[in-house]
Parts: sequence; structure tokens; C-alpha cells
Amino acid sequence: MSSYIPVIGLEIHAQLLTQTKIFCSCEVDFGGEQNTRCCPVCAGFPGTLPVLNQEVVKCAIKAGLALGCEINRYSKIDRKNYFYPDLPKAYQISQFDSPVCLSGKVKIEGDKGEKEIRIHHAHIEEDAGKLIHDDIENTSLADYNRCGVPLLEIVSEPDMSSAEEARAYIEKVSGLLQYAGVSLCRMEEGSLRADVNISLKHADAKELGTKVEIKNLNSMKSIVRAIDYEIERQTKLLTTGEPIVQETRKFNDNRGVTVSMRSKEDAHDYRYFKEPDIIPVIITEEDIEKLSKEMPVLIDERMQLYTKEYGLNKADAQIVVNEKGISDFYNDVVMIYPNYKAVANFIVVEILRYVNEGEIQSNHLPFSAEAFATLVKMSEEDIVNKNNAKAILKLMIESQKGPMEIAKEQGYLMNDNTDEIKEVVSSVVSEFTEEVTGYLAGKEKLFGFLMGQCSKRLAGRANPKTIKEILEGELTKLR
Amino acid sequence: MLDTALITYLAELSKIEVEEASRPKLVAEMSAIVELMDTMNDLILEEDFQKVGEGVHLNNLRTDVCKASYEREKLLQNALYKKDGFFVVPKIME
Repeated sequence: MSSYIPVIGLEIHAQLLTQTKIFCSCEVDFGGEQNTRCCPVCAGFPGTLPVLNQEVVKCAIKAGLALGCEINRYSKIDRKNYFYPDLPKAYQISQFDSPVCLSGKVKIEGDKGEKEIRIHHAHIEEDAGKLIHDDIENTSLADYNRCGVPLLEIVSEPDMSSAEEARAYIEKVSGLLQYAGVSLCRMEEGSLRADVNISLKHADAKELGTKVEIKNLNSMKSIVRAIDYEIERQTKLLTTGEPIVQETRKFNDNRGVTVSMRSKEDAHDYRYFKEPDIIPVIITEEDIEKLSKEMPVLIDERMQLYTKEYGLNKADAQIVVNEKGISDFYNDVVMIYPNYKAVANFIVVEILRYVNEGEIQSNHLPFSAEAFATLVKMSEEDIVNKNNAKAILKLMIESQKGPMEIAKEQGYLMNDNTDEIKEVVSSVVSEFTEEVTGYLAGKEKLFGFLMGQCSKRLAGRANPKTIKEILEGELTKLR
Repeated sequence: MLDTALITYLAELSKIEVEEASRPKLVAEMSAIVELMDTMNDLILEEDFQKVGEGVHLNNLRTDVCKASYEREKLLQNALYKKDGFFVVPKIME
């Protein structure tokens, strides 16, 4: 076992849910033709003035309340100078020493039970543009649509010790932000990204090791893989007596490795200073009280409801609450068909599979709660068998037809025609004489084989309970 | 205190080429800029705001209402290099 303990801190960048950018009135939306959601302000033209969007500050306050943060009554905006053409001004408008949110904490399920992760602070800032590199021309094509998209950067303390704890923390923060109604947290669209700070500490040491930062991770899979790789890389270096270099690295998804980007500039190199074009914001007690009243139900309250009142196990309940869209949908479905466990199970196993594969979006499911409730009910009441219920869901996604209509079209409805079942059972009993003899001689496992043969011939459409009753009756006659 | 070594370091961070002969001149120019920044950082705004109850309150900030963005052609009209609706910039290797 390694004698080094990973020490992990995260910087999560969540896009705030506003109509317009942080410092201008350009629309915020995903995608769009390059440089069509820009104006002189967000494109960094000289002489333009940024004007702070009040919704950004409101969202940040709500996020802070959800993350258990103290809300700073005086919030100052700063310039962070850096030179890279993804930001045309050559500086990013951000916050340095007076962010909107100060010290908070969230609870996660850690490697050794419940664990508290401290949040150092959360600040608002503008996003940068996108560069497409052209290796042949040795140029980069700059699209500034994302310049000025409002972000909340949530900086944790280095309280995590494994990739799994980092994952649990991101899922928790993502859930809290979605429930607070301040971010969609869609990693696939870039509205949630993370930078990971990671070092290894010798089990006996008091001081932390040299920190490495892995930038711009935009999927949970990449985050977990990058952390696991980095722990292994740093362990090898330390074990062989080589030094860890303080640097920024990026994760290469194809190769599954982290590679050095550049030597890490420290905060001093950014030469932060007060943004002279934006007056600091005073946040009053009344503002905070008003915004806290607008906060919808929080994730922990739903977790309590699902585990205590609906009887879901903790793991399933956690998966359902993690994404607000899914949790809202679950609530709608159980209002119609209150079979809490069956509905949760179908969502966790089937719907989330399609969500994870990117075929459907959790907050825009291509079927209604009513249709899904009907499908689960049909499956639970053996109107269709379990496998066919899954097939119906697939067709509901593809065709947007109702479950009963699909079941009828595909011939998935269970067969209640006992005469047909009796006929099939008789043919199976007369055909598989050896198995029948074996069963009657005490080999009870052969009953399953005979059941399987009957189901197969009835193409899985007959109710297993009816087949079982008829088959038992036939076999009893032969005793 | 700024000196030519710091200018060299900043040029490296900024990925720009600065000829040795022009570095002393840049020291003077940058010193004036940094002096201005330091003056601004020395202002203790927080105390002033709290004392006189001034500053921008949440409701005085811009409301979140969309306005039309610039036409792309207009946005790109002064760009030295452009292609297919993009600004073209030198590739900076990382």
C-alpha cells in the first residue's frame, strides 16, 4: 500500500443561469455561429465599458446560500491580467480578494463515510472565448461567443483524498447549484468544468507536497481518470526520489495521461488590481433574505423524502437527486404511479443509461411523466414482461409514441389466452419426456428449464404466473 | 521595483518578443503603469463605502434583458486577419 496520501482541491467553474452576459446585453446561449453573440464590450474593443448584470450577482448569492457560504456584504471586481488570445482584452474581469461568497461547506459520502468539504470562496468572473488551432497555417481561429458568459468559480479547500471523493464533491455541488436554480451544470455543454489541484503528502509528514494543477476537465470520466493517473505519476516520482515540479498540466483523453502545459504563474504574476470601470457592489441583509426566500427545495430535503418516506436505498436516492431534471421527473411520475422503488429502479437503470450515452437530455426527456408512469405500471403488473418494457422505452424515445400503442404494435402485450398456454405446456411436457421424468424423480431445477421452454414458445408474451400454474398442474397429473 | 530582468520575464509570459535595446524604455513605461495600479490598490474603498453608505446596490445594476449583438461583419471589420467569421490570431504553443 502507498505511504502517500493524495491531497486534492477543486476549482469548479459553473455557468450561471442568466439571459445575458456578465458585462453586456448579448444573449447567452449554447452553440451558435462563430462571433454572432458578440458586441464591442465582450469582444474587448478599446473604450468600451462593462456594466455588471444584477442577475449574475443574485445567482452567485443563491449559490453561496446553497453551498453554506457566508455572503460578503461588499463585493469587489478585479482585473486578472494574462496574455492569451482567448480573451481579447488581455485581462479577465474576475474577483480577487472580495468575492461574493466566503467560506462554505458541503457534505459528501467520502471513502470512509460522511465527510465535510470546505469551500474557500466562490467568485464571479467572465468566461473566455474558444480557439480552434490550425496546425498547417500555424494560426488560431478565435470565436468570442463565450467571452463574457457569466461563471461562478467555486474554490474548495484541499479536503479530498481520492478521485471518488472528487467525483462525489462535484456531483454534490452540481446538484446544489441545479436545485438553487442558478446553473444547468451540463458538463457536455461546458457549463460545468473543473480544475484539479493535486499533491501527495507522506503519511507521516505535516506539510503538503508540491501541487500540480490539471486544467479544464470537462467530463466526470476525465476528472476521475486524470486524478488516478496523476496520483500514480506522482507516487512513482516520489518513490524514485525525483522531485515534483509545480506546474499546470492538461489531460490527454485519448492517451489517458496528463502532460505539462507551462510553468505555473503565481497570483502575483496576474497582477490583480481593482477593476476601475466597475463600482463594488453592496449586498444588504434584506437582499440576502429576499433571495433566500426565492430558493426552491434543496437537494438534502429531497434526499430525506426519498430515503425516509419513499423507502429508496441511499445509493438509488442519491442517483435520482443528483440531477434536478431527473429528480423533478421522478416526483411527477410517482404522483401518478406511487410505486416509488419500481419507478426509481427504472429511472436509474434505463433512463440514465440513455442520458449517460448522450441519447437524451435529463431535463428534456422525450416522453411525459404520464407515459413513463404507464410503462412502469405495465411492467409491474405483468401487462408486458420486463425485457419488452425496456424495448418499449427505447421505442418511446425513438418514436415518441405511447407505451400501450407500442406494446400493441409490437405484439408485446402479455397473452391471457389460457387455452393457448395450455396447448404449449402440453406440447413441451410431451416433447421433453426426459426432463419431465427427471423433475418427477426429484430434480426440481428442471422445472425452470420447462418454464423456459414454454416462455420461449409463447415468445415471452404470456404471464409467467399463469404459465407456472398450468405447468405445475400438468406435472402434478403425471405424479 | 521594475528592472530589465522583470521585463524579460513578463515578455516571456506574454509570449511577445521584446528587443534588448527597447527594454530600458519599457522599464520606465511599465513603472508608471504599475505605480498607477499600486495607487489604486492603496485606496481603501471598503471603509469609505461602509462609512457613507454609498456604492452600487443590487437593484441598481443592469437588468438581465437581451439586446441584439453586433453584426458579425461589423465586429470583424477592423480585424487585420479574419477567416470564415473568425478572428485569426497567431498560434501560441503551450
